[in-house]
Amino acid sequence: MQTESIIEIKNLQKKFGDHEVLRDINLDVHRGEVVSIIGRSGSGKSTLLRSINLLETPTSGEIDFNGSNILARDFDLQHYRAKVGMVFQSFNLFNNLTVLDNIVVPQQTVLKRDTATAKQHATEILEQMGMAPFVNAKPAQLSGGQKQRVAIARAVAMDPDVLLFDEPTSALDPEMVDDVLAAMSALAHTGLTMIIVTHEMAFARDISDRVVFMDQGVIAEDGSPEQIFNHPQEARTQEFLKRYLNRA
Amino acid sequence: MRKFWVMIGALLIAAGLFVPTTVQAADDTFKVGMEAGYAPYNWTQSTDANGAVPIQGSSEFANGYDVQISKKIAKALGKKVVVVKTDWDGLPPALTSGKIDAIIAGMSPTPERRETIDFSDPYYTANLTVVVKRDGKFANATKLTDFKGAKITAQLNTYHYDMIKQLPGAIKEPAMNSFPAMRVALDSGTINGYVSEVPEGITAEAANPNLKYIRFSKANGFKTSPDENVSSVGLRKNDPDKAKINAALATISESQRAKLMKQAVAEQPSTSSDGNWFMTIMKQYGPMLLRGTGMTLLISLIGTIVGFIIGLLVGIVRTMPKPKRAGRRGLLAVGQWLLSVYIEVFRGTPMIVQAAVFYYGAAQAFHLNMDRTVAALLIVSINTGAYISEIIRGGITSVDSGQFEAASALGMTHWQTMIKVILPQAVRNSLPAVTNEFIVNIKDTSVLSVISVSELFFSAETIAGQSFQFFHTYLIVSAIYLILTFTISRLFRIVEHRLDGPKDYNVMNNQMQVETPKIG
Ligand SMILES: Nc1ncnc2c1ncn2[C@@H]1O[C@H](COP(=O)(O)OP(=O)(O)O)[C@@H](O)[C@H]1O
Ligand SMILES: [Mg+2]
Repeated sequence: MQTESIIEIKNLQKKFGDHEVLRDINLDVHRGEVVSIIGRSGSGKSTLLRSINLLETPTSGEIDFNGSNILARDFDLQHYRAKVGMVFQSFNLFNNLTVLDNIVVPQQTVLKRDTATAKQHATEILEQMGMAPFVNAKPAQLSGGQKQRVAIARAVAMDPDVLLFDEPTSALDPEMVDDVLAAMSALAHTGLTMIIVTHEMAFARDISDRVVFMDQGVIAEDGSPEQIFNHPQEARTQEFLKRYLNRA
Repeated sequence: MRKFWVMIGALLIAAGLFVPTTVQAADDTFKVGMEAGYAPYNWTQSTDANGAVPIQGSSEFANGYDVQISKKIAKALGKKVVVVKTDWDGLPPALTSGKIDAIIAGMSPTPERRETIDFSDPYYTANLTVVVKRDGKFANATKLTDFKGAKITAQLNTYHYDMIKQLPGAIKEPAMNSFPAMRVALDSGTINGYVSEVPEGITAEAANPNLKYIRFSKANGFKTSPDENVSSVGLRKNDPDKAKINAALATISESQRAKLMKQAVAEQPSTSSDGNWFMTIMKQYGPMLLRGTGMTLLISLIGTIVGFIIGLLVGIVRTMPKPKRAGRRGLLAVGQWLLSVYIEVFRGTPMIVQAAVFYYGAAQAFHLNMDRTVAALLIVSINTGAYISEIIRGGITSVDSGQFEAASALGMTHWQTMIKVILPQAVRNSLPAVTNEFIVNIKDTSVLSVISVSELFFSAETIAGQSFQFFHTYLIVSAIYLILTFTISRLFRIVEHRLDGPKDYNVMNNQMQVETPKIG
């Protein structure tokens, strides 16, 4: 898989006050690639993901999207964010809107799609996610797994170039996890670029083109799933995986 | 959401149509300030019978001795009388700020008053008396020394109150606000008498057979300076019309004055209270109560709606994220600081003070002559806005930050996020508190009587003052307030349910329905 880079992170640093959470991160994500990020809680995975769509402002370094620096002053941030979707651990659906409107309203406001087109698009994606029966429901009336599938549909409906997932199944009851993972694999097969922070090791191994292991704010190891899961080079990677695989 | 704004717009327009548009005083009107509730000098009536003149900004009329004198003066000036119904304490500021041209309200030209305003020659000389209970201990008093141990009061801010010291041994009770209040106090025994003037004494006797006024002989009565027992026309200092007014007053002889007063005493509103009290009050004052209710509802409704819109805007600005550029950041910081000053000032001072400062202050300092209803609407709106801003801000911060983040991640702007996602939730969460503001407004518009807005409480004061049926009038008025507030809280409950939508949703059953994800 050697296509051009879609996201290129160079020497990224993020500090919260004096606390350096990300140190000298370098990561190159290619178009159509599925990259999983694993690592201990607190290692900076979320911060990295949130820096990529600028929910956090990096302290220093550079992030290039299709070759242009998103941290530049004149960069069109709104447009960029529409191109880079994000799925959160806690779903973050709009509680005042129905399932359908959660997906229609962002298309209307950001992409200026007319209502009919946006609805049509939303309905198709909800069907693919198995959520078509719930178009009229409010988020409060859905289970966690259903909410997350709606959240994914909302991000997908923007026709993004890149989708970021921050532990999308961590807040779910075990029996709900599979539905969401199935939806994500289906998406991965469409050729969408995806960066996924996850603790689902089996899933990461199956779906990813590349796996990145983070530890204490740095990328400790970066390689194919085969390399990371079967022949980890670093002692800290081995230790981390041992704990996880034993548990599984 | 769009429907909601359309509805508010329609309401505002509809309400605008009902704002009474008082004709701005042209030069040919002579605006006279009086309480229109101090019979027989002046009172309020619902028709123009017996030569009554219209009260500005209402469909009621004023009549009485003062009104008849006003008409004679106006005629000499070649103008037409308009009565501006004003609280006693509001009269001097109304005059100096130009809201009225003259005070003709049974006011005496005391030296203190002369410091701020000017006076014409007297237009009535009244002897002082003490009104007592007909069957009480002091009913047979004939001289000032007969009041030892009597609990005596008089109207606040009148020279009558200072006259109590001429009654040796009398106990000076706190001054009271109005004559009707003193009559009730006397009848109920909390006081033994009050100092008053003979015409008022005649009225009191007629109103309540339990009362009588003491007929002092010239030698045994109060010693007054000529400044005190006369009524004069209050004028702004250096009023060019003063000479003309004095000339006009000079043409009214002493016997003519006595005749006018006798006529006023005879024509003043009947105060008999036989028959069904409810029907009596409703028959005579029903329209006045209705108009008062309408005004209260109008001011509190518009005030709440406009206040709500102000609150929304202020709430949005106060929760804006810091812009990246330093210049805009500074601008926002200044704006936010100004808004917090606005909120603190309006929440930190009583609305009655705001109304007085705004209405009389603006007139005095900037010669800004505002319609009193407009002034009332502004005050209530701005005041309510300050409260609702904080309510909305709380509503905004109570929406979980994840929804802000999701919206940003989707590329929505702050404004889009606010309109589509956050505000609907913030407004929904704030609705009970906003309802509460509306109800508070219904009750608090009563303080607007300080700028003589004829809302429900102001009407009630007038009616109670004229009918002497304090308890019954206020009982009716309480019922009206209760009906208003109860209806409003019910209506808003319904709106809340509507906004919440149905408890259940319909599962869309069509052939495409699939439970497991499948992407083609
Ligand atoms: N807004 C913040 N302010 C201060 N510290 C933060 C903030 N967000 C995250 N951190 C810290 O940064 C470190 C990395 O957090 P995070 O990126 O959430 O880790 P992960 O997602 O890998 O569990 C943690 O020590 C966390 O406490
Ligand atoms: Mg995390």
